Amino acid sequence: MSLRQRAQRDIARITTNKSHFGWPVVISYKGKEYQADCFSNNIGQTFDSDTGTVVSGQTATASISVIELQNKNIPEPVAVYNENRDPYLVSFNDGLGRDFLFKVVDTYPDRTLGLIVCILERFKDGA
Amino acid sequence: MALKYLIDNLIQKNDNFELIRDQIALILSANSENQMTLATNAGLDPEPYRLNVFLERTNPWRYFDVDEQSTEPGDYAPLINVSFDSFENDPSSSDGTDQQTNTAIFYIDCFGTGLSEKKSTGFTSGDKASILEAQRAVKLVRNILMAATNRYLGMQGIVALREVTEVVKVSLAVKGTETVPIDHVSVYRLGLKVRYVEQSPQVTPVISEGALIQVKHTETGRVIGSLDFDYTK
Repeated sequence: MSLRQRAQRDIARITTNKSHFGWPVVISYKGKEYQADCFSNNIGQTFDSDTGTVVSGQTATASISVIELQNKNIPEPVAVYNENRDPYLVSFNDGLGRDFLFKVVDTYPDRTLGLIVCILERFKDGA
Repeated sequence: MALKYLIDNLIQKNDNFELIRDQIALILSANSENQMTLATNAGLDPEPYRLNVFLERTNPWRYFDVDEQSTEPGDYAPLINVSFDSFENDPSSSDGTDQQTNTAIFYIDCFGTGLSEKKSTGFTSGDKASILEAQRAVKLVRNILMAATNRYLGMQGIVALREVTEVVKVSLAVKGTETVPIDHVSVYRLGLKVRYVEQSPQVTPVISEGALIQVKHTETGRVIGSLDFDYTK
């Protein structure tokens, strides 16, 4: 096994370890739901309107291993801009029992180490 | 001996720039309610005319935030924040004693929020929705403030002129970071220039000498005057 493959496996192990910082999420895409474990963040930040630097706001991300996606046959996260197509959704709770539903608006895939960082925005199910 | 530069009256009044700022907020709030009534009476949805008006808030978009009882944003109506920025004096129409003519700049920031939402086919984009909401809010604000009935902002005699100087988009995009806010908020800033008069504290007059003049005249109308003076040592 090469060092690169070992790094990919390490990332999969680290991000799915729920006794550490791994967290369960539900992925919804094209009418199907998938359970996965990954890193997820939902934190308050700040951004300044004049300079564009971070002053205030809430940001959320999900970082999921490519190996986790492959093991569970989960489609790779995509930022869907066409409003006529199904969005790629991620939901998880905050550990206090409150669920949050997000849509993927951007992704930062690292295909060398096998980790995809998903930038999330709040989504309303409308149901 | 009393110091000559001391003002002998307590300054309790508001300056007119404060009153104008408050009046702008009142005009926007009252007209929003009135527009909603007009819409209802016309059988139309009043919600597009609802504006939440605030004064001098530095972080008003937090009003869109999730309330502690729910995971959804609480109120989607556009936020309007009225703030005073600055004024400049016009020396040519001011005097150093009583009345000054100033031109003030007020900012009316119009915040719109949009939520990405599922629809029957696909979804609506939150980023576009927030921009359209903010544009709709600034449209309402501009129409209200520039309406003929608000020519003097209801303060004729104090306000001589009001005009919209600019409408600019304020960027709330996060730069230099890899994340964006989960809630889309867009802002348009409307600048309002107001020319008005301001008064200053005056010296309390003191009677220094008294003079009594009684005009008397003869039967023919010839004036005979008499003067009495009260002298003080």
